[in-house]
Amino acid sequence: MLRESQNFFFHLMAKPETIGQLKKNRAKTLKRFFRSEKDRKALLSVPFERLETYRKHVSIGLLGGIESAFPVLRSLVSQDEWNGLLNEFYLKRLTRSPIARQIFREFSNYLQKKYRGPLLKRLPYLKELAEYENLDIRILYDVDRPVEGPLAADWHAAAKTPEELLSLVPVLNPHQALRVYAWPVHRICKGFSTAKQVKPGRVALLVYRDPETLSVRFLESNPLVADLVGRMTKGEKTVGAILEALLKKHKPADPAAFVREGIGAIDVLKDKGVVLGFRTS
Amino acid sequence: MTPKLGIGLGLRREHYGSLLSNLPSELQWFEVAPENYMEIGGKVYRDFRELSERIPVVAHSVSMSLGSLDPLNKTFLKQLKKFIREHKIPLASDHICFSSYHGVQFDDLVPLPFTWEAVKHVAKRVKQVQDFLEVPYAVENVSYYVPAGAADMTEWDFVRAVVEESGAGLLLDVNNIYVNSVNFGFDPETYLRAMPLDKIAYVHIAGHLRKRKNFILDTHGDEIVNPVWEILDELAAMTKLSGVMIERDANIPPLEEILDEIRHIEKILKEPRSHAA
Repeated sequence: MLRESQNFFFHLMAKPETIGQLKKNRAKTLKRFFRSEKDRKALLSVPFERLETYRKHVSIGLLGGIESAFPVLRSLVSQDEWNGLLNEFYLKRLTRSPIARQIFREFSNYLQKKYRGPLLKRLPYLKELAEYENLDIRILYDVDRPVEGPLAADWHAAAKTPEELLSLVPVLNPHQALRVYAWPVHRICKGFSTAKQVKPGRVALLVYRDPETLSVRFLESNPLVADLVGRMTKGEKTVGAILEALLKKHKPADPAAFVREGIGAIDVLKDKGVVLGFRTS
Repeated sequence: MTPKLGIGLGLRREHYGSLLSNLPSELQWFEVAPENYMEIGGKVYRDFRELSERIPVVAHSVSMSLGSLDPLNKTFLKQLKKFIREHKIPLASDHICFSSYHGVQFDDLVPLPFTWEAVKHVAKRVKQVQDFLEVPYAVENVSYYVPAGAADMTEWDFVRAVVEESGAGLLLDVNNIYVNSVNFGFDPETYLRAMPLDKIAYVHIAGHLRKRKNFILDTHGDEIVNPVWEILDELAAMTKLSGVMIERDANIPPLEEILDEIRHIEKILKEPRSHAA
C-alpha cells in the first residue's frame, strides 16, 4: 500500500492532469491508484481544496525559489506564462536535485536544451538571459577557492624593470566566467517585455565575484581582454608569455603598442578584481 | 545523547544584518535548512560561518525523504555529513514523510500512511541516516491535509512507533499538532499524552494560515496563535524541554518582533501553565 500511496501523490503533484481527473470523477481516478476499497474510502470524502493544495504547493515551492533567481526573466512574462514554464520544466526536469542552486541550474539548462515554446518568438533572447541570470547566481554562491599567496598587489611597484614586469605571473580570480552572448543580456531590464526594446548585438561579458564585497559584477570585454583572461584561465603563465602568445595570434602592425595595450588591460583587470595579484617567482 | 539547546530561531537571511551586528542574548541556537548552505561560498557562506562560530546550529533538512521508496540520496547524505562536520553541528533532523519519488523532488512534505508497513520502512531508513551522519538525529511530526490511505493506527501512535522503532529523537512540532487537530478533528492533548516525552530532542513552534474553520495551512508565515501557545505550555508542564525554536519562513518580520515571541517561550519554560495565552 505504501507504494500505491506514493504513486498517488506522485501523480497528484507531478502530473497536472491528475487533479482534473480527481475533480471530474474521484472514485474512478482513485481506483487507478489504490486496489483496496478501504484506502480509496479514506480519500473519497476529503474536500477537493485539500487535494488541490498538494498540487499548488509544487508551484509555490518552485515559484518562490526560481522567481528570486531569475528576476529579470520573470518580469518579462505574465503570471500564466511563468507558471507554464515552471510546470513544463517540472515535468521534464532531468537531474532533480534537492539543492536550491542546482535547481536554478537545472531550470536554465532546461530552457537552453529543451524549451521550444512560443515565448521565444516574443523574447528571442530568453535562453541567453536565463543563462546569464543563472551564471550570476552560480558565481555569487561559488564554493570559495582560496588562492595561495603571497601575491603582489601593485605589480608596477614589484617590478623594477620592464623585463621584471613581464616576468610576473598574474593570478586570476577563480570566481569568474567569460561568456559571449548574441544579445546584450546585461542591459535587459525588468519591463522590457517586447523584442523591439532590445537590439541584437554580440557582447563578451566577464562575470566575476568582487574579492572584497563578494558581490557579482560584470565587465564588458573587448577581444584583447577576452584573450588575456582566456590565456590566464589555462594556467599560470608570466605576463611576457601571455603577451607573446597573443602577439603570435594577432600579428599586430605595432607590437610595442599592442604590448602597452595589453599591460593597460591587465591594469584594468587588477583594478576590477578579476586579477587578484601577481606572483613574483 | 541529544544536546541541551535552549531557545532558538530558524535562521533567515533577512535577519543576518541584525544578528551579525548584535546577537541577542535571548537566542541560544539557530536551526538552518542545510540545503540552503551546503556547498556554497561567497558572502552568504561567510556570514553563516561567522554566526555558526558564535552560536550552535542544528541542521534541519527537508529533502532526506525518509519515507520515500526511492533509495536514500547518497550524494545529499555525504554533503550533509560534510556540512555537519564543518560547522560542528551537534544535532540533525528531518521529517516523518516523503518529499521525492521516482527521482522527482516535490518541494513539499508529503504524508505517509499510518501503517506498520510505513513505520518499518521509515524507521529502517532513519537508522541508516543516523548511523551515517554520526550525530544525534531527530524526526519531526508533519502537518498534512489529505490522508495517505487507510490507517492501521492514529497519527500519534504512528509518530511514537517511528521514534521507538528507529531509536531517533523526536522533534515535536506543536503547531503541526494543532494544524492537524483542526484539519482532522482530534484533541491535541490526546496527541501530547501519547508522545514519548523522554525522546523529545527539541520542539518547533510556528504560526499558520487559517483558510476556513476546519482547514489550516501550515505556512510558518504568521504570528503564533494562542491555542498553539497552549499546547507548548501543556507540554512544558509535562516534561522539561531541552530545546524550543520558532520557525518563521514567510512574511518575515523584524527580529525584534520575533524576540517578543522568544521571550514568551522563555516565560512558558520557566513557569508552565501560568503564561500561555
